[in-house]
Amino acid sequence: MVTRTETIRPGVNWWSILGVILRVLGLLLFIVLIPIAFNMEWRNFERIFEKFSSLRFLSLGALATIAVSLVAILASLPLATALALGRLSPFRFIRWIAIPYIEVIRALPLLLLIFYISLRFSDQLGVFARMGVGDTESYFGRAAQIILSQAGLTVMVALTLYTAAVNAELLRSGILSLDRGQMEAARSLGLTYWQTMRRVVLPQAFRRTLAPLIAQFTILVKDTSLGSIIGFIELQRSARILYENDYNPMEALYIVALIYFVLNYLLGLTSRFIERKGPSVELRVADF
Amino acid sequence: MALPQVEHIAHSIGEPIILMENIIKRFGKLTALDDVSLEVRRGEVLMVIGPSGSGKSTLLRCINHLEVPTSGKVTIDGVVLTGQRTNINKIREEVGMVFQRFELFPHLTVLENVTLAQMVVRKRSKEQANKIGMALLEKVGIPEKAGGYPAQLSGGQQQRVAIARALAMQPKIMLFDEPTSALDPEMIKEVLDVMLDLAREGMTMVVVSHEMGFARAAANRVIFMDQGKIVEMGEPERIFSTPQHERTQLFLSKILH
Repeated sequence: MVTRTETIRPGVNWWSILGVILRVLGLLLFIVLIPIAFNMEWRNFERIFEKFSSLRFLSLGALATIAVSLVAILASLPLATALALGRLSPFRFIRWIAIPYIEVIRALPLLLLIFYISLRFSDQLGVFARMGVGDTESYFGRAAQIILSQAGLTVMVALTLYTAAVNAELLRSGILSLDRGQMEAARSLGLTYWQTMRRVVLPQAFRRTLAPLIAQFTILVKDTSLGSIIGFIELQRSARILYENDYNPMEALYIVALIYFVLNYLLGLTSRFIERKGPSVELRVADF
Repeated sequence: MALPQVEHIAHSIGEPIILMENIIKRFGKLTALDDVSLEVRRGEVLMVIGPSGSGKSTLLRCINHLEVPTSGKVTIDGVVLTGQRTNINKIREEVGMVFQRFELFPHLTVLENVTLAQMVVRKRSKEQANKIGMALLEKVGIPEKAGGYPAQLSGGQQQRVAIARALAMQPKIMLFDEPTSALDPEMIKEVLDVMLDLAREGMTMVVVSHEMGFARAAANRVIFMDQGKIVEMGEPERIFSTPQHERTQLFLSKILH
């Protein structure tokens, strides 16, 4: 009886190395071509880089974008999980809460959500914001002030609520894509509904929906820029304040674009990192 | 699938452990089980045969409440299944189940598959669970695969792990729902061998399967089901050689060639 599995494990794969080189070259070409195509001027880049205050300003904006994104990502995950389970709950009262929440929040433009939270909860969020104000002269004091500003907290809350609603549906589809037998197998071993969800169903659902979840987080990072409209000094807004002084919007926004790209590229790498842990996909030789 | 002719296992039969009384199960308009009553005694190996859609699997799934009967009473080891959650989970700890499509947990290693319920439900320590898990993998003949994942195993190996996973809870009853019908022919024997060992050890087993060799070697009763009813019941040799009922004869003529 021949039943064995083998991993395809290449030694040095020159084709994949060539592929990496070509990808890096392509990226560099792209980075160089855009400034040329848009007639950007090197002198305008220099003007940004030669002033320490501009760089400090941009980095504060980047920090605000990163911090708000991180909080919203981490806060939206448990909420999305709760909503997905709520929508699948055997108890209709829980479904009656989860379904309208998901459907309503997903249907609204994020900007409207931001406006609404900003208008309705400005006082409450302001209290938190005031507590967060530290030494505004120091770098991190200023960063905390931006992040914990009323606008910053509004964006944080809006992105959390919105992303949770979208990701709840992704997770729900992941849970439903599992074979019903998985639930039955766990239950027939004596695990309770919750133990089965926690140990068997959710780990698999997260793994299956990892790529779309990360894609949604990428959208979240980009959507922090909507905060600029209510005065949140995140990455894009900080660039605007810069170029309004120096009249070099093209170049300032180009640097901002690069920072967004790097942030989201790193986010994409985490999904590959997580996918690599756990069962690897192997070629089954047994069936031949 | 022919097993080598083995001497029939001598069963020591005890008191009733599964009692099903007037079970009716409807799915919408379809009646899957139509007033079925059944008694299985401790140490018995009961085979359930019948055409597809005859209600065999539903009967099996009613025993551990994966299906809740529309009416009727199921008693397991003196405990009436009431539908209450705690009660059901307690019963399920005592009743192991093996599925047609294995249903191993693909995100866990083979050993973790066997230890999960031990730790979560039986509250065993990790060391203890691992020890019992390894012993069971030894028993089903694949201790060397403990660190691998289910996807790296052949179908026969996966089904043996699934049996080990169920045995890890030290159940009083084992249910088998067509355990070999998703397997390639050359892997069927390795699974049946493990099941034969279990029967020899005196495990109470209810097996939905058409493996006649296994029935002859291990079963002390065969029931033939059709259209949600138990049509005929008796010792394997009697059922296979001199079936009384016309429908049983027709069915057996199709599967025995």
